[in-house]
Amino acid sequence: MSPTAFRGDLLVGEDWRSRDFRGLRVAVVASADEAARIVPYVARSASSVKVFQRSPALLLPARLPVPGGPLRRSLARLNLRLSVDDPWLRRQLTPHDDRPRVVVRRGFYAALQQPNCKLYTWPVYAIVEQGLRSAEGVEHRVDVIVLGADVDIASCATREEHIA
Amino acid sequence: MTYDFDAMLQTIKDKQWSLADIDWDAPGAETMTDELRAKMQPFMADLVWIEHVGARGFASLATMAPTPAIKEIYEYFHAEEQKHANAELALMKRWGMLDDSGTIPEPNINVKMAIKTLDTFGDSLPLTGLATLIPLLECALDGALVKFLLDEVSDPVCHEVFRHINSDEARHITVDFQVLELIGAGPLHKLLIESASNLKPQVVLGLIVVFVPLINKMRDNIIAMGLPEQKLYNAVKRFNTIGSRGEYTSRIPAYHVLRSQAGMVINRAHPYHRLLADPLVKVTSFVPARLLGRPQAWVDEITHEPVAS
Repeated sequence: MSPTAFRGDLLVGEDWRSRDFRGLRVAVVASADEAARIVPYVARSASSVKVFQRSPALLLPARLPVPGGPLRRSLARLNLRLSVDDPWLRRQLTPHDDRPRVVVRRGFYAALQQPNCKLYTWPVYAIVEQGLRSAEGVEHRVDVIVLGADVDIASCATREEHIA
Repeated sequence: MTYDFDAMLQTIKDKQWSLADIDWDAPGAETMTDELRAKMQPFMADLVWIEHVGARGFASLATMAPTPAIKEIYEYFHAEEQKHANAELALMKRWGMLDDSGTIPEPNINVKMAIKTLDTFGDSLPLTGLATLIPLLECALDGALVKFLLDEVSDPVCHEVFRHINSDEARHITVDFQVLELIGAGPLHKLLIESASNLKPQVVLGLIVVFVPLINKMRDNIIAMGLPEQKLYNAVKRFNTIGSRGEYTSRIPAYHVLRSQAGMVINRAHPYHRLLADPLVKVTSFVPARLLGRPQAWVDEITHEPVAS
């Protein structure tokens, strides 16, 4: 079985840009960098969005005249602190490497805190007929899966063959 | 010879399983008699919470992993411990141990204190400390409790679930001790500096006040159920047995501290019980839970549902 055995729509690359997500249950599997582009758009109309974030990044809402480095990272951390109240969600969004990347993305934190949106950091290990399975043992059923460009679909497919 | 963490990571990915793989309505639930249900309910709730707290421990370890492969392994272990908690909660539901809302019973005060400690200090504990503490707790609590469960319960679904869980746990223990080998093989001065940073008063006090009574409280619960505590001690001994097989683990000061604690735990005649651990169980039982505040949102992530829409 390949990921195409998924009965819903599997969107890769930029396919999500031209889609109408009204009333649909959507899973987004992507790095924070990409998820931060996809999720604000999808969360506007989807009935539910499950965001499986692969690696967190620091975000700034706009380009600032600040050189890259510690100051920029501090501003991005302050942005996270001011945008997200919940300490566990904040922790999930915090990169723990020594020098995390800072990217400019607007609306990700606000979208994640909408009632129809939820962030997960569990590894996704298989795409199945009705959704995807993550390593905390739950099958998440959705109508659409949006895969970030940096997600290795082949690894999901291989795993699916293993299960089958 | 250095351990191949990449190969282990691939094995972990290949061995993933889901609650949806289990037939939760299969025959066998009727083997849970009323008497056994009443006896096992608090035990199962403890077990679920221990797995859930273990998951939080791996989340902290993932932030300080020494290599990218180990980081990814810890991320899987974080999820797998959560999976174990979910699967055990699903067993509780199968056996009629949950109320209509399906929520897990409140943890005891010692588990609540462990949650508070992990939320407060977990991510800032030095790697050597946490990487040594986790396998001790996995050997002592996880290993022992699971053994009891399989001895007591004949439901085939329970045994199927625990075949998966035990297979996961075997990999956890392997990696835990291989990471200790990797850390132990590092430069001695780094080990000493990191270990000295373990000695921050709030960390030492937190570990003593939280984890010393946690183990003894669990022992008391086991005895209250009429089960032989020797099995708990055999499980604790594994920590020393596996640790002593390593070439470099013994260079880690935190390993020696926890190994000697484990030695005291399994010796009922040791003054450790009379003067420290048992009084701490008593004292902590008076700690009002509201003093600890609301735990972070990860405690709500637990679910007995194999499928989520």
